[in-house]
Amino acid sequence: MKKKGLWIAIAIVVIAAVVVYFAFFAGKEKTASSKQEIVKVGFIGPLTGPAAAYGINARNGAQIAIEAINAEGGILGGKKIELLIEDNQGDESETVNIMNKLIDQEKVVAIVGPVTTGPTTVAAGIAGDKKVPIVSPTATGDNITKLSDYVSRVCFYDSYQGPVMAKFALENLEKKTAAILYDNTNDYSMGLADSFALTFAENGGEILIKEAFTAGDQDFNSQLTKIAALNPDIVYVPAYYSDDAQILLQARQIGMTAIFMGGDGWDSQDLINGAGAAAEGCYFTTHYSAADTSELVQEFLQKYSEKYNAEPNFAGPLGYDAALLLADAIERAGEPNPEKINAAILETKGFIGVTGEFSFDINRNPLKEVTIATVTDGKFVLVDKVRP
Amino acid sequence: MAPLCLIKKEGVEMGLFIQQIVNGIALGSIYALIALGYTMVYGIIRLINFAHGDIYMLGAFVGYFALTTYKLPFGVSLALAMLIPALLGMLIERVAYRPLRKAPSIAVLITAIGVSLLIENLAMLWFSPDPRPFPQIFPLRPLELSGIRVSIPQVIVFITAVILMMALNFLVQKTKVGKAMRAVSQDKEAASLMGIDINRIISLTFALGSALAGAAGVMVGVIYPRIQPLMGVMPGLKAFVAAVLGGIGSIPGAMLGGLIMGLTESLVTALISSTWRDAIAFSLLIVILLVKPTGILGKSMREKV
Repeated sequence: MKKKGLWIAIAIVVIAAVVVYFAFFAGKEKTASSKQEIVKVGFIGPLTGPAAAYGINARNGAQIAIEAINAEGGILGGKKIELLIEDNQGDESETVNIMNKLIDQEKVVAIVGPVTTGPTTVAAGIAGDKKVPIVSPTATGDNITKLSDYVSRVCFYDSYQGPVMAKFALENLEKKTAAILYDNTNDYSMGLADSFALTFAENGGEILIKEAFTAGDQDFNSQLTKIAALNPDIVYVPAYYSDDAQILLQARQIGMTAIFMGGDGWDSQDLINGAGAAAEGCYFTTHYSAADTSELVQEFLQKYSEKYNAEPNFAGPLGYDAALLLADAIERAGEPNPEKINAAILETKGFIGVTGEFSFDINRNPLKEVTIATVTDGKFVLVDKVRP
Repeated sequence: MAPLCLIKKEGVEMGLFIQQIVNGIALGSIYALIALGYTMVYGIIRLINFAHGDIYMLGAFVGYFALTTYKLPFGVSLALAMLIPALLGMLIERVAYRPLRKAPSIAVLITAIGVSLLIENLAMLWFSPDPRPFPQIFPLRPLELSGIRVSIPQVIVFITAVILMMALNFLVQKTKVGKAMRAVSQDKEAASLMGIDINRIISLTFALGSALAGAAGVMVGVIYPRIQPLMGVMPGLKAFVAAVLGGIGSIPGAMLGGLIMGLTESLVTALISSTWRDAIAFSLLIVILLVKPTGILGKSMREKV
């Protein structure tokens, strides 16, 4: 009986191996035969799980860009781009599998993604080893583009926006004193806090106090009481919208009137849903504003709502820009060769996307405008676009 | 008073110190409400009911749905948020703990952890893991009392907590049911021989503890308006520490322990740094257990409930 089971197991393994081999082989042949008409580009992002809102928006944006390019005759003299979409669930080990699959099996020439910083850190190493470029729409971690020459992004990095807000507070609002309340379990929050503090102090402002909290904390009264006693003009809170809403409410409950400010972590309708009237008059830096009247933005929003019947968060236009930048680079590379495409990405100059015009710095980070938004009557309103 | 010296040295006003004490009392009264459930259940069946923090979470959600979906007034919502967790607490005791009444205590403890995980994951399935904003029922402006600013939710939370604790104290000390509860906690068999229905009293203890946790859930929604399915984990742990700190099994001990935890947290933030808050709050437990293993008000193992 036992022996029979063993034989069946061996037979299953052999059959499976044959099936997998043929599937792989057939896939390869198909790639070869259709190489003339199709250029394969991968997309990696969380379509399920806690970061799904960003992944889905970025994917939608990228799809709109690719469809528009294909409708206008494609690239490289008539070739169509095929976008292969993969869900990494925001998970790092899943990202490794998908990177290998897209590059080794599907033979993509470049990848849009990953969307969040953690998986992008992992993907960067593989991209460098296999020499296939990745363009992240939304991974803002400061260091990711330093990990490999094959990583670039279309969003600004975390500590790029702190100085913008610091200068805005000093010069436009003419505020002189600030308090900082940051999440000390989060690199993003600490990076923004430090870059804000440095610029604010260097340009004549004074940081009165720096207080910390832990993401998910319920009670901010102690920190806020301490800050309120020093009566700063502004309070800089570089954290995510869920904590921000709590902080705003509790601050207003104890009668604080200081102006609260933050970074792109604030950019969510849930901030207004959570904080209500307490969010009025706050400022934050972000990647784009739906209230921007520029033609590119409005055209994109219209396309997006036609296709998906929703308004995108900032990941939508960034996904669009990443795909557009990549298509542009493939065109300039002259052939679907990953290494040449990467060189072309690096040479990008004056690229015009929905989230603004930019060129890359030495580390393939875009030098672009930062949008400053505020909350008025329960809505996000564009205040200014600043180039640092 | 060492903290006062520290304050004067830093040149910060006395008013600020008092304000931080108010913050601590508001937070502490929530811990106290949760800690009472731990201590009562422990007193009566010697079980650390790890699902207690999740009952508190359910209370917050009942309050949330009562206020938003059904648009009920605050008082009715609070009552519902106490009643439904109370029934759930009884159900959990009946289904999960009663069959293990004679089992080794480790088996019951593991069951409690299992119940806790079950509730948390069901809640994530039903309510989604995303945090929800708790409706704002009280005005945003603070109350000002001779220079000290207190938020309205803080006052309401404190008053409600005091009323509930007084009611509990009356129930346990002055009523026949309370007498029965004290009797069961002292000696189950003797109580049973005196004609007390032990199962009914244990059931009632779970109901009372869970109702207080449910009320604490709504209080948290009022004062820190964000709720989500895992919100019970950390406060549950801290309330457990508060119960041990005050002397587990002792009702005044749980109240005292809760207040000490709340005050420690807000004063550490105020005088040292918010980064040290949890570390110092939990170290306090270690110190007290080393000096007085039964907790501050825990006397002998006989006096429980």
